[in-house]
Amino acid sequence: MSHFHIQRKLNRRGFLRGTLHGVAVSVALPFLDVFLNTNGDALAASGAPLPRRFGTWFFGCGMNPARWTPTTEGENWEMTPELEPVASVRHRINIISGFSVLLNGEANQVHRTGVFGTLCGGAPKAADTVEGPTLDVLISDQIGTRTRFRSLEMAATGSSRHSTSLRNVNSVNPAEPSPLSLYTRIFGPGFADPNAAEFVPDPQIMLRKSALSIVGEDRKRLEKLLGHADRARLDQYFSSLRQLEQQLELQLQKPPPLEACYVPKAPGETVTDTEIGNVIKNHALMSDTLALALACDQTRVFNMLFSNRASSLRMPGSADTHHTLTHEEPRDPKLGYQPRATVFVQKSMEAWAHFVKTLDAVPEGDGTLLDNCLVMAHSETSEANSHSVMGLPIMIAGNAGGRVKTGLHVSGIGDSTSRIGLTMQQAMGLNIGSWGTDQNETNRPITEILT
Amino acid sequence: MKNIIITLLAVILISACSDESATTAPTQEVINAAALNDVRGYVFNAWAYDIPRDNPGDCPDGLNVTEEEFLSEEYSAVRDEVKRRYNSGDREGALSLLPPDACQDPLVKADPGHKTLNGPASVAGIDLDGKHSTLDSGGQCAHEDFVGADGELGIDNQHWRLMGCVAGYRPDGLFDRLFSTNSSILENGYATLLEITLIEGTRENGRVRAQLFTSAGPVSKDANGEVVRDMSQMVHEDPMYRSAMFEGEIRDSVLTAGPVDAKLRFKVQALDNHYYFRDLRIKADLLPDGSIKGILAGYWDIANLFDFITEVYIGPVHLGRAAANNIGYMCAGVYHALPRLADGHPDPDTGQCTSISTVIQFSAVPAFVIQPQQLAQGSAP
Amino acid sequence: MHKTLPLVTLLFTLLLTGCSSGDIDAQGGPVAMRRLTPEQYRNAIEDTFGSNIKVEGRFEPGSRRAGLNAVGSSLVAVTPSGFEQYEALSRNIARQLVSPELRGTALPCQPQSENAADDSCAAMIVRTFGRPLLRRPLTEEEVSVRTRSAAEVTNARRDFYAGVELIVISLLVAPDFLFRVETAEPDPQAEQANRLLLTNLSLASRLSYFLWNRSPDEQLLSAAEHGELTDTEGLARQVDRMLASDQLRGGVRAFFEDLFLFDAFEDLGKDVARYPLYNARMAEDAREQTLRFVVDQLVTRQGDYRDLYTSREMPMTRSLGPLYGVPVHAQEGWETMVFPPDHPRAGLLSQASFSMLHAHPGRSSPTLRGVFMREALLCQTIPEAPADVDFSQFAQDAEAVHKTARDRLKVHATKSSCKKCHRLTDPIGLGLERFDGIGKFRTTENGATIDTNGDFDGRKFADAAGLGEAFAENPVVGACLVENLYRYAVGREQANTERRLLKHLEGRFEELGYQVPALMREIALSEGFRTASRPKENT
Repeated sequence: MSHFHIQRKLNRRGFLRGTLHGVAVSVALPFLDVFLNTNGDALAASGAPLPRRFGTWFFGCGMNPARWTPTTEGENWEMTPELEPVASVRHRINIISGFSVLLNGEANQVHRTGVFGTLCGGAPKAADTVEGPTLDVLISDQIGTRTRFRSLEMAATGSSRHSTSLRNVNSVNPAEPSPLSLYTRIFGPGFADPNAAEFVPDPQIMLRKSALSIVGEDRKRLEKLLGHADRARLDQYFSSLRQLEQQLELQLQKPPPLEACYVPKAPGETVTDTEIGNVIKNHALMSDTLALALACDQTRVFNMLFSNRASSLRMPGSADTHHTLTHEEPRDPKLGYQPRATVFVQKSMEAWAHFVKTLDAVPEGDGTLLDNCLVMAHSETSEANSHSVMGLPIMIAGNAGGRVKTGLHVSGIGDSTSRIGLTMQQAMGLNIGSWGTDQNETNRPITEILT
Repeated sequence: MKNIIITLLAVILISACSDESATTAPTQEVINAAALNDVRGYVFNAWAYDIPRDNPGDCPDGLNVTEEEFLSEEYSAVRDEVKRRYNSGDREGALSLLPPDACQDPLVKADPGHKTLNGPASVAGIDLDGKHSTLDSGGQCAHEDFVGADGELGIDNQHWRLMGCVAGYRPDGLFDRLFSTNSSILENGYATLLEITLIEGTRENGRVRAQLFTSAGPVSKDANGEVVRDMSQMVHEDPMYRSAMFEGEIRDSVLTAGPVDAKLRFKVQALDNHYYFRDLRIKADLLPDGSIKGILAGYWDIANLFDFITEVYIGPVHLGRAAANNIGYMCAGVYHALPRLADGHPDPDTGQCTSISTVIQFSAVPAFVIQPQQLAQGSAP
Repeated sequence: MHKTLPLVTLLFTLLLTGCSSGDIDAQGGPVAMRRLTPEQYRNAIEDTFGSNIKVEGRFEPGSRRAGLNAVGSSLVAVTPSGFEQYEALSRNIARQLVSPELRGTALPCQPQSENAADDSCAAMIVRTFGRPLLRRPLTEEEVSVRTRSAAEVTNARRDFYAGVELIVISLLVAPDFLFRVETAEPDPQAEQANRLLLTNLSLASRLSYFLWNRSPDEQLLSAAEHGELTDTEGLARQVDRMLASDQLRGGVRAFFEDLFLFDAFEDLGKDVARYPLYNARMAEDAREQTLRFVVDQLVTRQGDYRDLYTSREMPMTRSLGPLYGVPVHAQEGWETMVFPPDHPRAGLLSQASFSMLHAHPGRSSPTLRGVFMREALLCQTIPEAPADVDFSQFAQDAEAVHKTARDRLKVHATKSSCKKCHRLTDPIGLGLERFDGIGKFRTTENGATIDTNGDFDGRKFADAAGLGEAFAENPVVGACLVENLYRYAVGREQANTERRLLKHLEGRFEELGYQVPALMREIALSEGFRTASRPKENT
């Protein structure tokens, strides 16, 4: 494991006096977090471990349980037809089957309950509610506040509305809709190369921080005018403002060098829509950019969406989408499944394998980037035709910096998927003993995969 | 009659209820879809010289040579220097080394000869002059007719005689390839429009009046690169590109119409000119899907023809000679061959024929031909 | 320039017909902080800085509630990603303003020296831009904090215009700009302690966004500052001025864009192998066509709302010609196409925009069209499909027994769990089946004839034109528009205390000949629009 030295001085006044063309300027700034957290990711000293990253990888319309779910558990789980595409990465992932969103008496909201039940720890009670912020938001609240981006969301389907990351139903984190927009956001203006020999802080940064701090003074005045619900929304607005302030603060200092980091070539403009060929291409381009964004520590939390809830994936020339096929295509009597719909399951599994390989291809420390990641792949349903939220397909890639072992199949015997959410949070260093609401509340992580 | 009443009523109702407004002005006339059925517009979506195939023995003396081959000694002596000058940007200097350019001034060279196509060949076309002509039948414009695809005699296509032994005009030659990718339509800055008005009978059997136009702009293409049907095509503002009205008839869904003189604009790649056809006729099938497929056959004015093939430019650079070399003929040869093969419109004084029978294969899809007097006061975009 | 019907005629009509909605006692629901929509943001930039300034960037998606973005705007916040985008937008705008080409004309004053601070010019810039952007006069404190910071940056960079950039950015990311914060005060004349009146400035904003989808202009702002909106006459003066203005078109357009879910055009994709005729330009023009159609009928002609469902006069542009199979004379721009009486195209429901939106990428969807008609146009809720549905009988290809959508959907009419909702959506959706997934007319599907006969709540129809007539005659259509327009105006679902008002407004709409500008006047002068209750304390 390589070490990198931080030359940051934890001196507030050092930050307050930015220099613009050699002239000191003092600007009122909020108090800065100290670079330590309780989980031991100490970055202020040498010998610091590499950062742990968390992500979700979403694919719509599930799989065919009879063809996907392995029948044997443990390390040598028997390969199944629908998991064939991930055979080459099986040692880097865990297959988690048989866990369900327990409905707790609530209706199974099609294409909602399965995903937001898993991500928020409970079955949504109404069509416009969720039981809490999604998993990635909870984790980024802990580990995302000190990176340039709290989290990054991206959708290979080309729509910024295709996102499963939210703080609440009125605060959905929009997805970057194209490889170029994702690349530009990360490596475009505002990117500070950690390995650059020279570092010249952009004089515009101080101006921008000044503008934000002016706005910060509006808070108290406005709060007095608002009711409870609006105050919460105002809070969110100011948290988002704070996140940008922190981004700017980071840009005032030379970031510590990162061996694994380099600036990739920009992808060109691509066609972004739900046609499967374009989705696969855009997903690959976005995965490449994301891997380096992680290696360059631009963010530690991400959400990749391969296909949306109620997958709109389609073949060129087809009247149907993946979703309509799952409902309308007859089951082939000889094969026992819907052949055209199942093609999309295969494509999704292939894309997941590609994603895992992409993260595994970036050397970092003594191993690869994937060693220090924890990625949860999941879908809003198991069998799409019946919108089943039982036995949801979940796959976990990466070792979370040594806290998670891979290569296993674990079966849940009908337990709540919140056990997975609990496991993810604990593996990422959150200090929680239990998670979830009502029937889905649990205090039992999946110890089989924890080291 | 009923249609006119409906039209009038609608016009009265509209003007009574509506406000003057400029953002979307009402039409000056109400479009009555029933009335439109008597007038049908078409835009051409395929255009090719008829290139007869599978006729061995077309060119017993071989194909025409290019000037480069004919004057191979002169050319090879200057070739390297021409290239050097051209590549260093001195185009004028490069061209000055070449032999005098008959493509720009055809009289600057003696007639080097031009091989024409012999033999009966089976071609598409029409017996334009109503005669089964042979070279022996005499007269200043004597020529040998072809046999039609269905065995009809007397088919006139002297253009094929003229160019049939030029490599670029042969099957699988340059033109064949261009026509098969439909570049004469898809890369053309203009389109050809045909409007047919039924004056008696039905669309299967009746009498019609027709008109040919060049459009104001190119065809519209769909996602497959095919010409869009039912697009509104404005006719070109210059009346020179509008033919006179001409008569025709439909018999068992086969349209025959003409003769008419027509100038049709053509702008593809380096070529920006127009065809000048005289006494052009149409013979085409009206297909069940609403499209038309058939031939145009008429007399191509030979002065226009020579101009058409030689006046080719990229910017200021005259490319007639380069085109001739590429396609496989010599401008001087063609220039002198043209009056020999011309078979139409003899000059009243000299008897010299001034046009040459030509056949174009075409098809067309439904479109709306928009003429200027129908222009409504459209709003600002 | 067009003229709307003379104002006198409008007022005369109103005086002759029934009592005004201002007399009906109603109390509005809670006020809310409403986030600007992308269009409102652009309008604000245009109104404040002029049309030379380009707004280039992305906005984070809004949220729909009760079918309207206008209601959802009272619920959405700003995510970190969204804030990043707002800040990037504001920097871009600031940079344009201070660019050498524009700074001379775009800024209200020039500094004494370009390299030194000039507090009085800076303060003027703050006030000149701050007032329209924040929709109110700025306090001295707000002005001075910006002038001070601007001076600091100016001195550090020796560039006055750097200070101007700071001022502009600080205004454009301010919560007061990005959100419309409505405030209300106790009504001094009311008996109930709970009864609140919107402040003049809040009322000005609410009014101006309702009628024009823009922030208040100087006249309205000034009237609000002078407290003129407190009494009905003063308010009516402004309302009538605004209804007579050309800007009303933008306001009506924005409402229907919201009601018709037209933001879905952003993500619209069609399978070009199945629809080679389709392209993005055509979709854009189809959207524009419907909006022009609506605004022409309702504003230019002050026509009857119900006629939207039957009118055969539609705006047409060249790109739509092949889709509708009609000639278009103008090479650019729009002209009016009048379809003859027996033509299948008649009214809103036959237009391409709805066919395109409420469909799948590769085929049409009667159910999606039916859901839209029920929810948006009739204010009826269609629940989500139950989880345990088996559709395996519905294959699309021609070899199957089911060739048309009607055949495929037949089973929904028999199965009890499906019937409940599908009998509401499918019969009317199937009436539009002669318009395919991009709105092109067709008579067969997979070789079989398409049957468009159906029943709309007891009224039989034979085709889309007949369905349009049935809609025009259905009283729910007018009532639903009233409900939607009211919610749009106040930015929330109606409160219990407003039920009576809504009933009254429905009656007035009918009395006023279903004229939408007249209805807007009624709403703007109603008690529900001007009053509020205390904000909810629980989320």
